[in-house]
Amino acid sequence: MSTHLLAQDNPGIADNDVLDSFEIPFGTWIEQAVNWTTLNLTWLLDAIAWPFEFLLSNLVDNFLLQIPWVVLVGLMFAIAWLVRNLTVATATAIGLTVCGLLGEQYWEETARTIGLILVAVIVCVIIGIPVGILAGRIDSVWQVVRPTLDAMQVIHAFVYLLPFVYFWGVGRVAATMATMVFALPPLIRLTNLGIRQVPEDVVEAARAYGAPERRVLTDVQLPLARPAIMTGVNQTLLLAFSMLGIAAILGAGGLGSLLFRALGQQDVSLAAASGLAFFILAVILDRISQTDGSGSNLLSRITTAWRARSNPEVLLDNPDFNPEAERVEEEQPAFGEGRIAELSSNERTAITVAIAGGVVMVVSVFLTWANDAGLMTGYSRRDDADLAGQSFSGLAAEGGSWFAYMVALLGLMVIAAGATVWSGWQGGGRWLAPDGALFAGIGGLIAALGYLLIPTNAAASGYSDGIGVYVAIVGGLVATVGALLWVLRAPYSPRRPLKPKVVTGPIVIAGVGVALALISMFSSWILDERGDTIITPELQAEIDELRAQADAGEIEPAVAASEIQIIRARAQAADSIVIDGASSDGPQLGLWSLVLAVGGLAAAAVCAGAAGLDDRRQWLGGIVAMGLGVGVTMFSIGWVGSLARAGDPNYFSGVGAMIGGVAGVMLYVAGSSIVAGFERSKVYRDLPALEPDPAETTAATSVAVPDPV
Amino acid sequence: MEHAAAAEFRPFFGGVSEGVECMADFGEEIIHLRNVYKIFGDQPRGRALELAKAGVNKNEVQARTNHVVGLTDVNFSVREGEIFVVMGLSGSGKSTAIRTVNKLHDVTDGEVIVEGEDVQKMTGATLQAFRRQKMGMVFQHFALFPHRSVVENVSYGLEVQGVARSERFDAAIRALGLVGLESYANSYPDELSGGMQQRVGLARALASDPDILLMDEAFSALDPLIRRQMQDEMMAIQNDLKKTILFITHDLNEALRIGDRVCIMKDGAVVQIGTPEEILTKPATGYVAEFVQDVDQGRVIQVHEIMVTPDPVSQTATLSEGLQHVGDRAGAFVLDAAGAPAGVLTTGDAIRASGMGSNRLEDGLRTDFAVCKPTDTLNEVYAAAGRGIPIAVVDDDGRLVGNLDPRHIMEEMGRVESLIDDFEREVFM
Repeated sequence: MSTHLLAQDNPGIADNDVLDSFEIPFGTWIEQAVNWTTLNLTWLLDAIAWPFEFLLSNLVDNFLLQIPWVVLVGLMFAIAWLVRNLTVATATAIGLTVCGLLGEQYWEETARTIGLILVAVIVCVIIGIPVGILAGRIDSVWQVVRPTLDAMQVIHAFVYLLPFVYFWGVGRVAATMATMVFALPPLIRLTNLGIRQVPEDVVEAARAYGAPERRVLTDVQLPLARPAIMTGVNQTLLLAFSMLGIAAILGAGGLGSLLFRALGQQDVSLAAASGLAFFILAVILDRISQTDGSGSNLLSRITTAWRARSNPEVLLDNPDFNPEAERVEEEQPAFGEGRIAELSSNERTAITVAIAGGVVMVVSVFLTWANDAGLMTGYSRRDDADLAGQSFSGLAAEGGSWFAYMVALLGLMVIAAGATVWSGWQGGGRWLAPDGALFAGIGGLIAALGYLLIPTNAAASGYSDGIGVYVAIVGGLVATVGALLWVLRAPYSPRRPLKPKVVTGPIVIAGVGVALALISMFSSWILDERGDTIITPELQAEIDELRAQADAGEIEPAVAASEIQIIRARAQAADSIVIDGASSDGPQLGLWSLVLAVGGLAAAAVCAGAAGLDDRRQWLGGIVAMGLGVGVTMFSIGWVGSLARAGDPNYFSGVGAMIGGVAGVMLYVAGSSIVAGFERSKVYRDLPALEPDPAETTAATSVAVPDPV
Repeated sequence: MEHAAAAEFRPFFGGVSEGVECMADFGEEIIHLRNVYKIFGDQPRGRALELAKAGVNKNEVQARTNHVVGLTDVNFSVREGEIFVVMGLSGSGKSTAIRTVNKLHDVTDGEVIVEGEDVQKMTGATLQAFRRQKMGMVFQHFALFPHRSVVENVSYGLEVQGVARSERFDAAIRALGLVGLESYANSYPDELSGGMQQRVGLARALASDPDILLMDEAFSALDPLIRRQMQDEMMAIQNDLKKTILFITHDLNEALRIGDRVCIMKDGAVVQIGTPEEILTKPATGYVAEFVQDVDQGRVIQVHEIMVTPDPVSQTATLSEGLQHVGDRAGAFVLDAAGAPAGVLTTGDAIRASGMGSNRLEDGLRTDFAVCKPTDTLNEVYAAAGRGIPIAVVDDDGRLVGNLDPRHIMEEMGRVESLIDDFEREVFM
C-alpha cells in the first residue's frame, strides 16, 4: 500500500503524471495580469477604446444609419466617381440600390457594414501608413516591425480575439480591434515595400538638390510609393471584409450578423439575401479601392486643374481638358494610323428616327397606362372596385410601374447613344453606339409588349389599357426601326477578324438561355401566401366550434387559442398558391419568355455564323439576340418590381421570374460575345487617295487653264 | 604630391618631358579630398579602418573584418573651372568619392573641403543650403522624378529653395534652352528618349546656377553616338559657363576626351592623377598602362611630345659633311635665313647624289617634306610619316622648332605593349 502511494507521489520521468508535478501556471499568471489590468488600468483601456468608440458612434450610428438610403447611394456614387470613374460609380449606385431593394433590414445592415469596414480601414490607414513609412526609411524599425507582422498574420484571429474580449467586452469595439490586427499587416508591408522600391538615385537626386528629409518623403518617396500603398489599402479593405463574419460573432452587427443568424435559424431566405448583399458590397468596395492610376478619374482631373490654377495654359496640352489637343493630332494621323469614320448623312437620318422613337418611349410613360383598375395591382388585390373611374400613368403602381420605368430607361439609352455618336464624343463607352441603340430599342419594345400581354386578373374588374402603352409600343417600334437602319448603315467592323467557322459559344449560351426560359415557364411566377385571410367555411366552422367550447368552459381558453392558431397556420400552408409562368391565372410571361428565348437562340445562331460567315450579318444577329435577351430580362424586372411595389407582404413574385431574368442575361451574353469585338471602322489617310479628291482635281484644272489675259 | 607616382616613371626616350601646362587657365583649387577613408559595414570606425590606414588592401580587409573598403587614403583637389574626371572600373570607389563631396555619403575618416568649408561637418539646414547653392548633380540613370513634368523636374532645386513658381519656371526654361529642350517642358520623363532624359538631368543641374557640377557616369547609360554628342554639348556648355565639373566615368576614352585632368582609381585608392597626355605617355602603373593600351593614342598624343630638337645642317656644308651630320637620323633639315626649313637631307638622297659625283649640298636636298605644328596629334601626321621622310615641326612664325622622325611615331604607338611587359602585367598576377 505504502509503496503504491509512493509510486503515485513520485512518478517516474517517463510517466505523464510527472508533468503535473512541475506544472507551469502560465494561464493563472496571465489571468492575474488581466484581472489586475481590468481593475487598475481602466483609464488606459478606455483611452485605447476611445478612438474606436468615437469613430463607430459618429460615423456609423450618427451618420450612416441616419441618412436616407438615397443620400448614401449618392455619396458612394460620388466617391466612386472621384477616385475611379463613371463606370465604377454607376455600378456602385446600382449595386447598392439592389442591396436596398432586398429589404429595409438588409439596407440597414449594408449601411452598418460599410461603416464598420470604413472605421477599420481608417484606423488601419492611420496606424499602418506611418508605421510602413518609418519601417521603409529606417532599417532598425523594420527589423522590429517585421517579426511583429509575421506573428499577427500567423496567429489565428480566435487567439487574439480573446484578450480584446477580456479587456473591452463583447461588442463592436473588440471586433473592430480584432479586424484591425488582421487587416493591418499587408498595408504596413506594402507601404514599406513601396518606400523601399523607390529607385535609390531618385531619392539621392532629391537630397542632392537640397531637399530636407520631409520633402524627400513628400516629393519623391510617397508619390512613387502611391501605387503600392493603394494596393495595401485595397488589401486591408478586403481582409477587413473577410473578418466581418468573426466580427458578427462578437456582436458587431452588419451583414455578417444576418448571415450568422441565418445559420442558427437555418433560414434559407435570410441567408440567400444577406449573402447576395454581402457579395455585392464586397465587389463594390474592392472596385472603388482599386486605383488603377489610369488618370481619367475625377479626382485627378480636379488636382490637375488645381495645380494649373496659376497658369491654366498648361491644360491646353492636356487632352482630358482640351479635346482640341487631341483633335489637332487626329487631323494629321501618322501613316498607318487611322481616323474613326465620320457620320454619313444616311446615318444621321437613321439616328434622328431612333432618337425620335426614344423620345416617344420616354413621353409615353407620362400618359395613361391603365383605366378603372390596376393591371399588376389587380393580381395582389382582393377587389379593385374602388379604383373604378380612375386612370393611372406609367409611373403609378397601378399603371405601367416597372414596365414603364424600363421603357423610359431604354428610351433614354437610345437617345443617349444617338446623341453621343452624333456629337462625336469618344467617351461614350461600348454601348452608347448603334448596337446599344438597337438592343435598347428592341428591349423597350418588348417591355411595352409585355405589359400588354399580361392577362387582366379577374379581380381587376373593368380594367382597360390606357393610351400610354400603345404610345410606348409605337415609340419602341420607331426606335427599333431607326436603330436597325442605323446599324445597317453604320460603318462597323470587327477589331480582329472573326473565326472563319461557325463558333459554338453563342449557340451554347443561348441554348442555356432557352433551357432556363423553359424552367422559368414551369416555375412559379406568383407565390400567394395570404393564407390567413382565406379561411374556408369548414375551417371557420372548426374555429367557431373551438370558440364555443372555450366559452362554454369545456376546454381551457388558452388551449382553444393555440388550437385556433394551429388551424390558421395549417390553412396558410395549405393555401399557399403557386402560379407558374404559363398559367392563364398568372401573367403568362414565362411562356412569352420562352418564345422570345427561342427567337434569341435563332439570332444567336445567326450571330455564330450558322446563316453564313458574314461579319455584318453575324453582328446584326448578335445585336438582335442581345435585344431579345434584354426584353426577356425586362419581363422579369417589370414583373418582380411591379409586384413588389403593388403587392402585400405575403404576395410575392416567384423564383420563375428570377430564372426568366437569368435566361435573358444568357441571351444577351450570347450576342455580346461576338458584338463586343466590333468597333467603328477607321479610315486611313492613304486609302482615299485611290479616288481622286474632287477639290484637288478642280484645283489642278484651274491651274492648267491658261489665263485669258 | 599627386604627381609623385607619375614622377617615378622614367620616360622611354628623350623629348619634351613635361606636358603642356594648360592648367594655368584654371583658378585656385576649390574642392579638396584629404586622406579620405570610407568603410562600409556595421562598425566602420573599428578595426577595418585601422587596417585600411595601415595600407592593407581592400580584399584583405574584407576577408579579415567583413567590411568593405570604399575609399582608402584618397587625395585630390579640383581647380575652379576645370573638368576633373575620376575614372575607374566598378567597385573602384569613384561613385563613393563623388558622393562624399555633397555628403550623400559620410566619410569614415579624412576631410572633404569645398570652398574652404568642411562638407562632412555640415548637418541639417546648413547642409541643405550648401547643396542647394553650390552643387548640381547628374546621375547615370538620370534619376528624374517620373511623376513630375520636365519643367517641374528641372525647377526642383529652385523649388526646395523656395523660389516663386513663375520665377523658377523661367529659370527652368532657360536651363532647358541650354540643352535644346524648351519645347518639351510639359512632357513627362517617360515620353523622352534616354539622351533627352539626360539632357533634362543636365538642365536640372544647371537650373539653380551652381558653381560645381557633379556628374556621376552621366553619359554611361547612353549609346555611343548619343554619348559622343552629349560630350560635345557638355563641352560647348562648359565653354560658356565655366563650371567646375567633377565627372565620373568608367570609360577612359571619355575621360581623356573631356577631362582637363584625369584621376584614375582602383580598389578605393587613387592610382594616378594627371593630364590626359600624362596618363597616356607616362602611365604610373601597369594598371593604368593596361587601360591606356585600348585607347587610340594617336588621337591624344601631340607632336611636341615625341619630336626631337632640330640640329639642322649648316647651309654652307658640303654633301659629305651633311651626310656625316645626319648620322643615324632619318634626315636633317637645312634652314633658310629666317630659320624656316628650306630642305631636308636624308642619308639615301645624300648617297645617291654623291654616287652621281656631286659633293654639293643642294644636289642632295629635297623640298617636298611635310610640315606640322607642335600641337598637332599623331593621327594628323600619320599619313605624312608613311613616306619615311622627317617631318618639319614649325612654330606659328614658320621657324623650325623640332624634327619629327617617322620611326618615333611608330615606336610611340607601339610603346605601351612593352610598357606592360615592364610592369610584369601586375593586374593579372
